[in-house]
Amino acid sequence: MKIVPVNSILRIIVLSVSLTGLFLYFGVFNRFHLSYLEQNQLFRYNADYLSDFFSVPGGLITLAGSFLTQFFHFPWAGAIILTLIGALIIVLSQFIFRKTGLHGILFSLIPLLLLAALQSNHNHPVFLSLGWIISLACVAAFISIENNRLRFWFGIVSFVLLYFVAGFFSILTIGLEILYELLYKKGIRGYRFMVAAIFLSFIIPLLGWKYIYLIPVSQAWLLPVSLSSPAPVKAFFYPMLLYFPLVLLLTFTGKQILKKTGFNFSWKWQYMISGAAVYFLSIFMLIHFAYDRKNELFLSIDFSYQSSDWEKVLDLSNKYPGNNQLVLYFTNIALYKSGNMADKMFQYRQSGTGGLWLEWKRNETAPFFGGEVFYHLGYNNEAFRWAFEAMEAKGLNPRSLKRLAATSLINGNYALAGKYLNYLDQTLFYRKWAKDERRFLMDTTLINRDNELGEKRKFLLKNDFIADINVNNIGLNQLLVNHPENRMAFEYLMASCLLKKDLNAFAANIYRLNDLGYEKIPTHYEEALVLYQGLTKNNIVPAGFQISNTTRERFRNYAHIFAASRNNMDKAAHALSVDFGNTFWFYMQFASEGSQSERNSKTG
Amino acid sequence: MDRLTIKRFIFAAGVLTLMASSCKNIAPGQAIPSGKANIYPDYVNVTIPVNIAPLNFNIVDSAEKYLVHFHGNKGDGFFITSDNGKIVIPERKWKGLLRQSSGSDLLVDVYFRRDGQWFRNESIINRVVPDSIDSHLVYRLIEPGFETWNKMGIYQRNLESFHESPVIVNEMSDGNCVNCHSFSSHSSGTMLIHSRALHAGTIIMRKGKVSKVNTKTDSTISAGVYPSWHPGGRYVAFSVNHIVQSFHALPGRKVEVIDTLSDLILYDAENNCVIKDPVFGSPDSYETFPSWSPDGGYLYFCSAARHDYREYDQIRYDLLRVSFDISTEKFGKIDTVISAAKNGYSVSFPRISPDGKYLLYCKTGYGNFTIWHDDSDLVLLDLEKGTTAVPDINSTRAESYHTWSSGGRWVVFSSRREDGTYTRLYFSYFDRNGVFSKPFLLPQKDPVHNINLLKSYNIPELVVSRIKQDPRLLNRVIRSQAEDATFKKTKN
Repeated sequence: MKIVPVNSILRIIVLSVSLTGLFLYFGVFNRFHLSYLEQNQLFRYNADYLSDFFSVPGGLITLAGSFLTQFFHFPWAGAIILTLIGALIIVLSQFIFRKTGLHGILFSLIPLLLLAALQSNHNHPVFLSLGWIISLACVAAFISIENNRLRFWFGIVSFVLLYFVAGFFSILTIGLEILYELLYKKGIRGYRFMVAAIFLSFIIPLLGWKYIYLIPVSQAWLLPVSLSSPAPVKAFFYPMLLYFPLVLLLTFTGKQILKKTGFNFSWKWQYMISGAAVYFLSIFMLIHFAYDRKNELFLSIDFSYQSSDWEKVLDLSNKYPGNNQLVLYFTNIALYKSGNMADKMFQYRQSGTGGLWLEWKRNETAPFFGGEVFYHLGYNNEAFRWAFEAMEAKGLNPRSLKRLAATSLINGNYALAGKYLNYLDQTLFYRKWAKDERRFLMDTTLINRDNELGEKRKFLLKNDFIADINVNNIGLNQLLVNHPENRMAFEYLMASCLLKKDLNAFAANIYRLNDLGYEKIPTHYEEALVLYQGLTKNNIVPAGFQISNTTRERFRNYAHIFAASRNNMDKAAHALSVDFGNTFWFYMQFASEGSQSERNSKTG
Repeated sequence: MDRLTIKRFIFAAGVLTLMASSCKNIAPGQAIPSGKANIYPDYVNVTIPVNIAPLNFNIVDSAEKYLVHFHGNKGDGFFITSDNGKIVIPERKWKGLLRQSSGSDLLVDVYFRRDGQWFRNESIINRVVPDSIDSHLVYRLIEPGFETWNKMGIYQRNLESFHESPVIVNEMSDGNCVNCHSFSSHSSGTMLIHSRALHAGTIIMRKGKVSKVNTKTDSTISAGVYPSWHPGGRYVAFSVNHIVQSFHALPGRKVEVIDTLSDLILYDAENNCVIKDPVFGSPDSYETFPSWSPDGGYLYFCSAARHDYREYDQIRYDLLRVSFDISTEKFGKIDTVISAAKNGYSVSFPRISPDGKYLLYCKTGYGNFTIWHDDSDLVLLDLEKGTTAVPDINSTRAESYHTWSSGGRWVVFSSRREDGTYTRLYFSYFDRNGVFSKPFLLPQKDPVHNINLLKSYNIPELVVSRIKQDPRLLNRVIRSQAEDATFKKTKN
């Protein structure tokens, strides 16, 4: 019976735990992040689409990354893919370090953690992780070749090929190979290689720029890496970039100084303790600096919104710490869709009209999320426009394309809808949706009979107006002029009046309750009416409705507690917040409109 | 077997293979007549130039097998087979057939097999005319967006083949906006391009040199916007505009592009000087879309009475013209060519035929940015007789920017007839009697290319030869500092 050494068992345990941890990290704690990554791109099985990737250096790994990202449609599949990438990074790092005389599992786990940190940010696409893998694979192959001539030619040829496949990562590769030659393979042939490699790393990108690619000259060496990545990505990208040369250099220097042939950090208890300390410290840093819990929570809200799981959106919204404009925005849509807006909106955080609709901005975030409210309001042209702008800002993505197809169907522009469906037809996971929607092109009468499209069709506008989208207005009055029965437009109008603390505008529209089939006055409207009547002495309660005694009693209690505070607002707020923090009265008196909103979400 | 025997054997096998393959390309004798062919693009009863690229098309009706016979009155032509309905014509065979058929008809017989039985559509009859079209077409490819843009580029397409190459793409220049490419007398050697947002300026190419200028001066509303090169190649008439956009709510209507200020200037490319003539610049009117007559003696332009931009549907442009004396750089008296506003419509994009006899313009209910107006149609004005006619090349959707060929026998124009959003380019033959033929879509190697492409073709301009400037050189100039133009005001 073969006895497995303890060292091997320990190694297997550490690797298994690390990779399982990585899998759970992405599969459980970043699942919505992975799903969002998939929503930002569209991998198509189409020759034209594939050919686009050859127009820049590194296009092939971009293509491969996009191919893999499509599977993030199922976050568990995404977690498996990233875990496999992580496993490859460990194997390749270990191989390279061993070849240079450095033995110790920790050195291979550090790049795994750096890669996990990078991949935690949605601005770090998967293809960049593939870039590291392909680069390290080439370096590993290079140093494994003992024959100098063969290694020399492998380095040269692989660099030229790798440049077109992986762009910047070919420069990284040849840099590591040069360093390896310089430190570990002295001799005239090594110097020849270095000269040739340096020359090629300068000339190949230059020739690529001159004769193949239409890109700025500096990008010839950098693509597909972007120097304009946000700071959290750079914070881990540069350490990753420096890690391998630094380890090679330190190993060499250490060997020279200590006159050793290598370093073997075997499984002795002192190494294990110090290694574990470094490892856990690194994990702590990863979680502290790279993992964005709030963003993951927001993306889970977005995910639930996409699934029309309104109760889940509201549940998650309550768990979100602080004010985030996008969270408020989805919360308010969910409140309306679940029939709770007019009764419960002040049970959730509110921060002015910024939580009802997003201000137009020429960026990736505002149009991507901001068109949703228009779609539900039946403001179809604006829903189309924002989806179109999102597609411009982000590139083709399934969410915008689906919205463009749906709004085109509602508008009766079937040729246009067909064009967008063609694109979804070319995908793996949206083909079925596109096929289902195509039935509306075959028989356009089905549109009116469809629950979702038919309802939107009913609200198609008859009188034109010009969009004036700003903080105060998105054309809700005009929507109601076109369709007085548009209940969502009414509730959003009333909500905007309440959030702007504009009781006169609220009072001017309360008469619509009758037209819209309300059976009783919603709670927050009652609160506003009681307050309005108290301030103006005008009774504007629509005929057939009355304010409940409960609300009148609650208002008396509210006024009593407020009066007891003797105009000390802090004291009053403190006393009222528990029982009346979920009322319009409390918002009216104590909320600072829009002041607490995190205007810029991190997603974007 | 000796070597000679082997050679003979190979030769015989080759001949047999050829015979077998040619046997396949014989029209089925028992084909049942089956109405009109349903093909995309609609290349039926169109007139085409003798030098155009193959009119590849897609047979829309499904079948097991397709066979198409291209032939003229003077020869047998050739066959194309297809399993998926896409008919992709070999360029060499096509060119040969066009040469043979020049001045006569080109016939296309479509056969298809369904349930083992061959059917035959009615012959498609197209006419080939010996009047060549200019070899290159320059256009911008851009998503027809609202406020945001991403990738865009100005491209040139060889109309005699499918070769398309970039003149400039904004990926090279940090994603800036490039637009308004314009040429002097269809010459690819004298042109300009605007760069907007980042690296702003106007790139001027003339006399073999490329420069970047800033035509905004303290005395003008903006930098030059809509250009028209004087045929001499030294002067450019520009509109200077302040433009805003608004978005409609009604289905089928999308964007309104409105001038809140506009005026005309003359730019002297030789001296990098902006010249302001007092004949323009009335604060009570908007002037825009300058267009020179082919002899350079007149500048045509559109002019509307000033309105608040919220009354955008009251802004209607007349067509005016003013004489120009190149020796003094002065404009003369303004004449009204078409009084559109008082008749309840608006004129934009006037373009005069190279012989100076006709003027083609866009007619719409109001405003000037006709690509967003479904009611925009092309209208032909006979400058000698003063009569107008609406040629049968329009659709229910927007027809807009258009250009005459250098010989005056062809017009290329943009149209949103396919889906109301993505602009496509159509060509129409203008015969010697002043009649336009049925327009045909810019041919593509993949016949369904235009169905799938999510970009619009903007500003089609025909030029007689390829633009030779390397995009990298243009990019270098775009990134350079623009030289400020000087300002000169002419006196009455």
